[in-house]
Amino acid sequence: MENVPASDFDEIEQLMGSSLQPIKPRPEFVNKLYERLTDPMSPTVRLTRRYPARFFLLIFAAVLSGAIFILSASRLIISLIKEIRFSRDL
Amino acid sequence: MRKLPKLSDEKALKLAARGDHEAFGVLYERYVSRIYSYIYYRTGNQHDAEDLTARVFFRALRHVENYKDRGLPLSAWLYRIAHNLVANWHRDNSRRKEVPLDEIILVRHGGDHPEVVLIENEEKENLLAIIRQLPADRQQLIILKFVEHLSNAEIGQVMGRSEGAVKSLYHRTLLSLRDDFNLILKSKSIDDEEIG
Repeated sequence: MENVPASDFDEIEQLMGSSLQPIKPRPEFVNKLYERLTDPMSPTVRLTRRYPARFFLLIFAAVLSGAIFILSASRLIISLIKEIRFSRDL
Repeated sequence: MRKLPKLSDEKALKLAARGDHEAFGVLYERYVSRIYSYIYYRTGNQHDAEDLTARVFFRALRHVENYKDRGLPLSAWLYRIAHNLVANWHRDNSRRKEVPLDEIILVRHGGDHPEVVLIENEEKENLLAIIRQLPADRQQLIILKFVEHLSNAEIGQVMGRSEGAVKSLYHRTLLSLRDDFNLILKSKSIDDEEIG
C-alpha cells in the first residue's frame, strides 16, 4: 500500500463530508409505508405473521380427533364383521 | 406521525418477531430515514429509492423471527438487505442511464457570493462524478462513512469484512479519489489557460 500522510486526504475528506449529506424521505411516503407495515389486514403483513401457539394446538387437536375417529370406526367395523361371522357359524 | 415509545431495539425485535406490528413500526420509524438515504445515494432517484426502501422493510418483516441467528446489529442487517436489493436493482437496470445524483445533492448557499457557490458546486459535481465511477463496494463504503457516519467496525459488519479490511479499502479509495480529482482539476486548469 502506498504510504501517504493522512493530511493529504484532508481536502478530499472535507469535500466529501460537505457534499454527501443525508437525504430525507418524503413524510407522505414514510407515513404510508408505516401504515402498510403495521396494518394487520394488509395482505403482505398477514402473510408474514407467525402462527400463534393456539393455531398449532388446534391442528394437533384436529389430527388427534381424526385418529381417534378412524381407530374407533375401524374397531367398530372389525367387531361387526366378527359378530356377523360368529352368528353365521352358529 | 406516531410518538415513538422508548423501546430498545432488542425488545422491539422480540415483540416484532412475535407478530407485534406496532413494535416493528417502532423499528421502522427509527431506521427508515437512514435506509432511504443509503438507497437514494446508491440509486440516485426518489422513485426507486422509495420502492426499494419499502422492499427492505417488508423483507425485514418477513424474516424478523430469524434475525437473532445472524448476530448482527439491526442497522447492519437492514443495510445488508438494502445492499442486496440495490445490487439486484443495478443488475436489472444495467442498461439504464446513470443517475443524476448531483441535481439534488448540491446544496445552495444562500449567503455566499455566487462565484464561490459556483466553484464549490463545481467541486462537488466533480467529486460526485468520480464517486459514481467507483466500484460498488467503494461507493458503499463512502456512503456508509460520509452519509451514514458509521465507524469502520460498523461498516465492516455491513459489508461482511474485518475492520482492517475496511480501513485498507478506504485508504485505496481515498488514493483513487484524490488522484482522479487532481486529474480533473489539472485538465480544467489547462482548459482555462487555453481559453485565457
